[in-house]
Amino acid sequence: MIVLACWMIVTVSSQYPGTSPKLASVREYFPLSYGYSNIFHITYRQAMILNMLPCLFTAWAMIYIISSQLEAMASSRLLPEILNHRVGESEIPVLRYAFICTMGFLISLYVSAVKTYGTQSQTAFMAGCFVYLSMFYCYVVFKWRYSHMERTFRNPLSYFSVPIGVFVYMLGLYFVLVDDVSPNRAVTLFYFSYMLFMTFYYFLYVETHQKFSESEAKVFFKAYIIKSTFFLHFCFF
Amino acid sequence: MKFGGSCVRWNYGLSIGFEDFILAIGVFGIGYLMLGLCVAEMVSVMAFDGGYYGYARILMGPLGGYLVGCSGLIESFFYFGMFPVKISQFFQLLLRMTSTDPYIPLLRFIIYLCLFLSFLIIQFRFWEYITISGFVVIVLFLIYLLGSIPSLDYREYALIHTHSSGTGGAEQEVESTPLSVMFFMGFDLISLTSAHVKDVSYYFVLVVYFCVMYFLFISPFQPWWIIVSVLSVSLFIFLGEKSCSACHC
Repeated sequence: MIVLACWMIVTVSSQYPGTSPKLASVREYFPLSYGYSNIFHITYRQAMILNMLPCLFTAWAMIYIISSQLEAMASSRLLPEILNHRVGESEIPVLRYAFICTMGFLISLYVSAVKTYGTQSQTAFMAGCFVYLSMFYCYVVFKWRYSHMERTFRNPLSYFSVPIGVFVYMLGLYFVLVDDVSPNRAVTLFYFSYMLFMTFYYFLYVETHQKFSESEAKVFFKAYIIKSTFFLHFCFF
Repeated sequence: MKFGGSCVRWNYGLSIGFEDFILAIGVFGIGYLMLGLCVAEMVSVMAFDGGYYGYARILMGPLGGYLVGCSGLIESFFYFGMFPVKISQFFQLLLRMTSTDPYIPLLRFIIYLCLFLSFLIIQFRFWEYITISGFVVIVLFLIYLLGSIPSLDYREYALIHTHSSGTGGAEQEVESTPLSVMFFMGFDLISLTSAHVKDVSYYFVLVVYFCVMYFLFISPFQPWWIIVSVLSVSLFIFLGEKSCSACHC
């Protein structure tokens, strides 16, 4: 992926119009369009159609991914169970899909209102950094606590991958959180307001109503047994 | 799934300068590689297709898991929101609408509605559609990368706008650097589909085969790329073999 990414950048940057700010190529909506235009001898607008296909396919894939996550969280009652409501004989979760598309639409309106092109990617990036940092923490706990569980893949870098990853994502957070520039304030305010709201919701409703969904119980059953014996061991010895 | 990020928006990041942007790609690429390795080990023990919150729930406690889930949703929703907006921008250009046109929200609404309806149709054969679309996107990218070779001139175009030549300052840099992750967007979400993978060793062989074919096919066109290809394929095989020998599978 890193190789493909670098190759793509070199290819886009090394042909007309290059990275010249005068030609405004760095502000083009679709960076590959000039290349397609050169290759097929078509107009810039026609070349944009070739960029539409990956956008459409990625949007479909994202709906599927978000839907899986919403389903899992709603099954555990971390989110309203209505998101798992299914309609008709085919049992289609129409409400969940409609919710995803509505949220996407509202986000697009929010981003238009803020009027900075970086807001959307920065918010996603910031949220992602927090998730990834927590995953590195989880990995350390996982390695320590579940070291004897059978696995089909072992991280060849083991614990060494953690400080490297933490450094990279802390650096990422620095760009969004610490540097005090105007787009960052909107992103930080939005993200922490949302998290605060969700925390209130957790203490008001989720804490008393949450449960382990069937899929969670199935996957994590073994882990829970080990965890409980681990704590018993910790308490008694 | 992840290729969509390679064809939209990331070029805004070039405003910090070509070399700086390449450096940012390298740094964040390593970060994603580390994340991928850690998550892969956890997934190999417990393949949960509901996202990271499941792992965080057992390893960080209920509140930690819940907050990770909420944060993950925000990430996914904001990344998802980019693509229909890009489709909307395409139609804006086609219909010659300005960025302040009052009909843009309506256009976006129609696009989201079409997306919703189209997903209702394809959801029953989702994996077939996504496999075909992945293949189509890879072919499009290869056409682009190989077809562009005759018109490449690194010295003339890539180095026009360097960091030292002056950009929009700190604000520009802060906005642009996170765009380097566009290439890796969705990579972290692959773990969400882990429960669907039945035979890991089969896919490993398939990927190695693909890498070798890629190396053989590309090298004659770009000789300097041989070094990069050999290094990346060797690293991949080394990591795979080491992991296989460690798990005794």
